[in-house]
Amino acid sequence: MERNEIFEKLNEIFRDVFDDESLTVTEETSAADIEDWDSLTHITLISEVEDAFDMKFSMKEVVGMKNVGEMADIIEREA
Amino acid sequence: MSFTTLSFLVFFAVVFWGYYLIPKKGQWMWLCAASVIFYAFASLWSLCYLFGTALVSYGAARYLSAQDERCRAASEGLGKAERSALKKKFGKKKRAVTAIAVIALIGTLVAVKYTGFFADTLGALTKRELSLPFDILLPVGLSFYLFQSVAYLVDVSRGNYPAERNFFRYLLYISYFPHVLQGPLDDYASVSSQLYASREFDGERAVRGAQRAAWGFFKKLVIANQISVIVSPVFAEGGQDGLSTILCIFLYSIQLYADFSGYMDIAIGCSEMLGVRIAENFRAPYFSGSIAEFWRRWHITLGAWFKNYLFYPLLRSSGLTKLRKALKKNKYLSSALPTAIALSVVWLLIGFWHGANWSYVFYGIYHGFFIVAETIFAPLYAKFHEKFPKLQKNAAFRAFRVVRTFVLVTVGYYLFAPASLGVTVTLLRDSLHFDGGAFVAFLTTNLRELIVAIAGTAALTFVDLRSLRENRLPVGEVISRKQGWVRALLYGLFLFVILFFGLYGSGFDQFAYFKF
Repeated sequence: MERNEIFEKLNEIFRDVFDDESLTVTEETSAADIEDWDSLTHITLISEVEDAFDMKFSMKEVVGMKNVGEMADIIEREA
Repeated sequence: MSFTTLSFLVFFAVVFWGYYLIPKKGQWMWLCAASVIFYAFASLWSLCYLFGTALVSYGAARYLSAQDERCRAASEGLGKAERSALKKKFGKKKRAVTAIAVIALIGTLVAVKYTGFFADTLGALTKRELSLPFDILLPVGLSFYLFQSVAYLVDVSRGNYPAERNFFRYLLYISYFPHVLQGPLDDYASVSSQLYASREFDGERAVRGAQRAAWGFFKKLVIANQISVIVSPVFAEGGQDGLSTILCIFLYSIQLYADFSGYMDIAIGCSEMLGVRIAENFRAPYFSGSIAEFWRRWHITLGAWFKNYLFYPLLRSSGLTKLRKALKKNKYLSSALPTAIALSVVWLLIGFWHGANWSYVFYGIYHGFFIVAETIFAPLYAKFHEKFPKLQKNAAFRAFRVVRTFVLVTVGYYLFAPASLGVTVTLLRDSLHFDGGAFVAFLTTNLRELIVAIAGTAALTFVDLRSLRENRLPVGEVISRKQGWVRALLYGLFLFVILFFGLYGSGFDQFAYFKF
């Protein structure tokens, strides 16, 4: 899957999870940039991404990813 | 060996000077030997638990790392599909070994800590005498170093870092004397490299550490111990008038905080003097706006442990994932319900973790109730703040939330302080009984302790409030920048306050969290 395709899909998921239609994520977007992105929504987000791309993050990845770019890296590798 | 005994001060002086005098290569071994001796002084027979825990987690982690290496070697040059099949095969083995080791470790804790409790409960249910023929003693610090070893093991199995090869280095991590008896639960990744590094003496760092430890001694010896004289008899059996009882519950919330966080200040300060930064466990918890925020500021490392090793895995377990998918049509429910279930399990277990006693279980349920409610009503809060957007930054509203949270936490101590449901009921009943004369008599009897406690609490409040404001120097740093004679005067005065107003010696050297 192309990287911009991944981001397109990710944008959809982020908008849905955070209930914000104006949201656009980039490589550098992190939990610090989105107010509602706490440890609880993180897990919801992860599950939605897993469903959408039909893959599974390892626990190390769930806890360790620093920004959306890293999330996309893993998706690129696994999906 | 408790931190507030003369023998600890002598012990630490030897460890501290020895650490900087011996050859650099031997520094970590010196710490390891000191830690084992420290623990042996705390409880000689408990050493077998410490070594057992270390051996099991060390061995299992080594095996996991070896599997990782074999998997990596075998997958070289293979295609993507074959690599992932290989990873699956090794993953299965790793999961099995991790599960066995974790069950062995947690099983030990459950057996030692809860067998008597289960026997009593079963006995009460079946109306038969089922008490154990012998007492099982709880090794000091067991639930703390066991939790650390479980975290280490799970992290290695998740591939966060490779297992430590040298058993004694690993033993140092587990047994490091500042954290072995009641935490903080230190993360291996952040503390290990500091423990094994060699370092030179640094005067500024030593002063910073000593200041921190001195502040801890003040909290424990002056505030916590003076309050304990007032409240301990009341929590033993109740029987006071309402106002006195309520005053005691409020005083207890300060005592527990001064006791537990004072211990942490001594641990963190001593460790800093040796150049090792261990984890912070408190961040002005009584200035929290909600119960959830309180637990992000109180016993921080325990909360982090439960989040990483229980809450997340639970939320991602197949059962809750299925539930979430089944509820997919309703966005709110699909996220709120699995979260509420996972939080309930976590809080029940946090209650249990505190001790084999129904009081602690209800204490966990009490706090869990507010936290689950916060999750369930989150959309309502959001709507409320949308309507009153200015409220969130309003200082008076914040103060209201802080006071409300403090009162809720304090009410929870009706369960926690006496650690007996019978006494909790008595205390609640006492609280409704007004007798002005008895209250005045209670105040007069405890006048000296009360004055010291209030003055100490004022100092504590000042320091905590200051720590929350950004761009403010910590009090210790301010003192360090004063002229020599001013510093000497202040240190002398502080030492005098601790020695003159503190309570120490036999009966005052126990810390509240030793029993957990």
